[in-house]
Amino acid sequence: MSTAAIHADTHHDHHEHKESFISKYVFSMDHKMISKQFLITGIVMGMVGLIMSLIFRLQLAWPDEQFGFLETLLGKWAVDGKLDPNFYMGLVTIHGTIMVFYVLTAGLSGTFSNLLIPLQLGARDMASPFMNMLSYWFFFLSSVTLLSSVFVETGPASGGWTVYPPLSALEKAMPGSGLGMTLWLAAIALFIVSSLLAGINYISTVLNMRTKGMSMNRMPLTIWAFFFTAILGLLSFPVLLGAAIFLIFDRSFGTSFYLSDIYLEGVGALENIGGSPVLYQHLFWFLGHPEVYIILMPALGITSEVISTNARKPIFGYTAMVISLMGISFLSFIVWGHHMFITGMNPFLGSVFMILTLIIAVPSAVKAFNYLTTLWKGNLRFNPAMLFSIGLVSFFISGGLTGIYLGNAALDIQLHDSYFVVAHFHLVMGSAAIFGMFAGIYHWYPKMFGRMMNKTLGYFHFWITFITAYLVFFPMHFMGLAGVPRRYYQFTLVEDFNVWMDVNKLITVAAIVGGGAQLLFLYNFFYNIFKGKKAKQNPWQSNTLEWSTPVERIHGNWPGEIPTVYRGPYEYSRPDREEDFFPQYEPDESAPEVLHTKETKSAPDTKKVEEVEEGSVFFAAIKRVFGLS
Amino acid sequence: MVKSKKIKDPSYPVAPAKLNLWLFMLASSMLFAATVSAFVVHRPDAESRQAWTAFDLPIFFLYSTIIVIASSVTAYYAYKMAKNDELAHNKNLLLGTTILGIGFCISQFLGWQQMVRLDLTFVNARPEDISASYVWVITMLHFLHILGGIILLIATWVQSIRLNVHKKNMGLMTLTHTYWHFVGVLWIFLYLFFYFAQ
Amino acid sequence: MRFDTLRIRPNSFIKKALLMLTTVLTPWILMAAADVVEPPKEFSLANWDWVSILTWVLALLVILVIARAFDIGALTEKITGKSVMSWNNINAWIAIIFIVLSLAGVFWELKYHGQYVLLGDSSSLHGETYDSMFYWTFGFTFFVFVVTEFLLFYFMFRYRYNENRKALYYFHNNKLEVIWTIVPTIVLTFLVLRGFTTWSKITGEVSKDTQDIEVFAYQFGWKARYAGDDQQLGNQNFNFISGTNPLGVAEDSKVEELIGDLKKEVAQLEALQASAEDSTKAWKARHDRFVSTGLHITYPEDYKSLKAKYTDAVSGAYERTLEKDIKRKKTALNRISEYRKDKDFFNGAGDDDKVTTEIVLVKNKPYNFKFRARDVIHSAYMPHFRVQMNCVPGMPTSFAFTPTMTTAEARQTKGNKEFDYYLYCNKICGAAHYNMKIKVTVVDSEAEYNTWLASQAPLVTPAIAEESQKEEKDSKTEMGEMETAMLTNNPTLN
Repeated sequence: MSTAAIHADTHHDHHEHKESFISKYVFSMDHKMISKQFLITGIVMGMVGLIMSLIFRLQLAWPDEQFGFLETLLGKWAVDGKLDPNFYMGLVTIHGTIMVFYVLTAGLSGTFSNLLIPLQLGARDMASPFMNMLSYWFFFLSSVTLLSSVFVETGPASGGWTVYPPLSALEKAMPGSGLGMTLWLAAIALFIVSSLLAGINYISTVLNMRTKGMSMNRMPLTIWAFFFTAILGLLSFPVLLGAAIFLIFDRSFGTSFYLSDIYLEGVGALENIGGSPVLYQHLFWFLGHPEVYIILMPALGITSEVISTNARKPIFGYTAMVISLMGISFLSFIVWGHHMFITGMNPFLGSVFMILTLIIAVPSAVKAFNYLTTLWKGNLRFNPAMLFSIGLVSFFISGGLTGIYLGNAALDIQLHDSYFVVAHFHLVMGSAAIFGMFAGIYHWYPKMFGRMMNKTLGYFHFWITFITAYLVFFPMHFMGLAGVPRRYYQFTLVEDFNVWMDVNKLITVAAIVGGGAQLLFLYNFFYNIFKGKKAKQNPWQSNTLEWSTPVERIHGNWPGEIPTVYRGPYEYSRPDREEDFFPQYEPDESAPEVLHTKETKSAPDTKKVEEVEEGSVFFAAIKRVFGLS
Repeated sequence: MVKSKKIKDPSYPVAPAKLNLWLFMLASSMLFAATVSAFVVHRPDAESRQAWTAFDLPIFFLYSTIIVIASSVTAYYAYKMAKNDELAHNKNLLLGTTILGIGFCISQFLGWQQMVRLDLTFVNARPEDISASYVWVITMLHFLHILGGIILLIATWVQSIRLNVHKKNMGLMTLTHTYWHFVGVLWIFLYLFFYFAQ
Repeated sequence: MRFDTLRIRPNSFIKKALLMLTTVLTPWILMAAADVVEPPKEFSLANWDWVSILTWVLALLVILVIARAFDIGALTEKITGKSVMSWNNINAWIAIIFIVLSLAGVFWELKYHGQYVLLGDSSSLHGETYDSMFYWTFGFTFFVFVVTEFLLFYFMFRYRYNENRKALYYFHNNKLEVIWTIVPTIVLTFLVLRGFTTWSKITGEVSKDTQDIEVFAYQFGWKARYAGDDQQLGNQNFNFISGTNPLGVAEDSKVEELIGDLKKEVAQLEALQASAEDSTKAWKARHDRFVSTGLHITYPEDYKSLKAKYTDAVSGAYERTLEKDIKRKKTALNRISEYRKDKDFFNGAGDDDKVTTEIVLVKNKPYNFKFRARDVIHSAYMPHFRVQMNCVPGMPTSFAFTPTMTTAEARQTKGNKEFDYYLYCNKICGAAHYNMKIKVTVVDSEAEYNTWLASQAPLVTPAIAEESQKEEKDSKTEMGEMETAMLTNNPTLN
């Protein structure tokens, strides 16, 4: 007998018992609760990361000013209200680490994979609820470890979030490379364990536990995105673990995997010889590049779902969306070298990586165009979630286009590690992914908490965040093009960079306003958990399966049998239906399934119908090739 | 909450635990792929001035290989016996596999000792002995995997004593059996790799 | 009925056409307006009060939004007789206003910050290819950027919710999808091919008559090494680095001096090690005396440092540190003596090398920069020349280029008499990363260059050695101090 059946059975035995506080809120094995835990931890970490960024933005805008409150806040790291250069580096590093790993990896994909995979696929819970719980608690431990690194005497890890050795390996090279770096490594190791546990669960649930009728080609795009994300994580995080293990040995045991030919002031020539710092970069970016997509793809998935629902229109090119996700996932493993064009890598290798990198632009372009076409002739409801999704598309386009510069080895010579890079990734994976996360929160808040968020506050939150995000990151392109390097503590010492002082001030002011706008969100989020308007069963009139579960959380998700799925997830505005949506779980014998436009009865334009039909042949062929059905 | 009637959930195509195990094995293969390719990348080419020690692998690593193959055979028969409901054989074979697994650990220890005697230590490695450092790191990582396997074996053995491993309850047995083959194959791969790639 | 609103009615058609026209034209109109209104000669926003401007803009936006809300809400209620969720329309309006204003902002930014893009014309030969590659890419991406962003927000406005309308049931269109897969592919193929040729040109073979200059990065500064009269850079090794030989050049006298120093230090450390037991006892006695007399309460600060030394001594950390230091120094000595055996390595080529704190180049002469790093990864970044290459300890890297614009010429074109080229560090390397730079001067003639080079002292002349020794002393790090402290504070020695 399979263990799965045992799990399922035990759930039923349990769900009539009263859960204790501990088992309900702390060591919960219910995927919905775990998703909330991920979300709230993610939000807290996000606020920490945001505040850190504001502090170093202050330094960049007013390098000669003294901020008394900084001394109160940071003590010896801001004597007389002037930020210490070492701590500046620490802030940059921890801000990057928090945002990349803790907010946008765990906070985003941890939250929504956990919430949506079982709910949208029709499963009682994850494949292994216990592993799921472990995953959260490893993540929590990891967060605590990382934050504790800020409080050690020698300061937090401060070699940049990529922690390149030798800088990160030698305590004598930088104070942050002492205990702070050790804690950073410990935190990342825990984080890897957490994300592997989670990833295994996601993949296994998606492959194995779909309800009746939920074939792969009826899965919502969110699930596709989470699925590919989990695969990427599963294949790339172990490599980071390998890199971290070598680094730990180099730091603490005197090996020289990454160290060679080093002479340190005051220490002399080190014993280490024969190591290769570039080896670390290869290992790191083998994770690092897929990591970018681990961050972005769940956001894209959420966006697909939200845009389709709120445009009251089927997502355009479902298959193309899936294939482009697949293409992006595959390509992301073979392009890591574009982070290393100027590390002295063999130029030929550089050109290979350049070609592969620019190929990624094609599936990305397909995605962007498909979003645009989904909006075209839609009937757009601007719920906050919808606005954030459109914001994501906007960021995805403007940030993605600059990737074409950076993926080009020749152009990278000038732009590498300049503010252009900062602008690029903050738009395309920072802002875009965080907007995807906001979209997800606004959209599935009723599902998570059974209550509604305030829309008006949501609108203010969106517009202020959106405009300030552009104000912060757009001018950075110009700074980067003028050769302003990133990770500089101040720019006043270099004549050439002085012209950017006013822009730096603008950016900081915009960042502060944008940061302030997040208070609206926090209020909206936490207040409405308790006081919000009670949610309706299907508040957005969405098609997907999660809206068929009761509003009040129950263990096992559905009180009775798990509903069967009859059609694809994006049957909005079907001409033959009175309502403009048609849930996946709604049986309708009279109308045979019109899966992806085999017929469009009363379309206005006959020419279009032909095209659509013609297309469905192609669609069927693709399905057969990829074995989707 | 609704009073649950006898709800029959659909059974899953694959046991989730089994699928999870396969995914875990995939992930840990990636870990070894990474460390092994680091070794390959690091090895200097002919014209480089860099020092790089090539050494014969300790003979005990060969013994380990033999032991691991033997244990794979016993694990396979243990699985087969359980499937045929021959519980006594199953129990003994599981015990045998566990003992072989422990034997493997001992053999690894002896192998490491031999490396130390050759002055190929891990902690105070001479610069050109990075090759040895790699061998240390990778074999130790593998050793951790073996320890996990032994714990699984013991757990299965205990279940087998309690007569819980039989034709209709193959879940744990299948996991153990699969995982043990995995660590076995992994070791054989690593051994061959270090044998030929030095 | 359902698709009524999709059909174009003449009345609304004019309205829509006008709207589209104005939205598309507004940026240009604003730009034209910016032309008419004479822009300031020198762009400086430093004296603008950004906070209040932003506050004003925000306040304006809020007012606008609220006003619009009342407006539309009231109007629709009047017409339809029932209340309508007008936020939907408000958002649509904000969207269209946003895109118009922000595209105008982008053009404005291009207009004023465009002059800084790529810091003006490149000052190197390959830089011209680089710039043309850049502007091609810029052209394509900027076009796509404007079109898609505009469409995105225009659709937002155009297809805002209307309860009488049903969205188009439109799953996919094969032809369309193929088109927008193929078109980007073609454009990208073009860019890739161009990028490939540009990249190969830049990183290609270095010609024979290229002059090598070694650029040496350390925390936190740069040094350059020029060949002397023999036109040949001497060998180097990180083990040879010393106060008088900051780049570790293989030069007999300096290396011998270093060997002597190292031996002395080892002897000193070994003496300490031999007396370690006594010193431990001494520390213990001193500590006990301190505690027994109650001094540890009266002088807590002194006691703290005493306690640290005492713990170090008792726990054996002190001895371990000594042992480690001795081992490290002996390893270095061994390595140096290995190299000393190799007569080819010490071929005397480095004796007349010149270590400088400034880089001087001659216009239109090809150079090959050979990069080395002493401690951590640095990156040599010369944005004016479109040059960047990481400096990796243990892995030599290089970048070949030809400067084409002298410093004097650059000063003229930029209209800045103070202007100088610099080489910056562009890879995070520690606390003073932001101030790690070296001046690069490009001169017009070989003669100027020769005069400058002649003024630089060769390696073996003591003048420069003293200077760098002084510098060395200044930048002594914590560890160095700790070591000296340990030596001086040893009770057996006082």
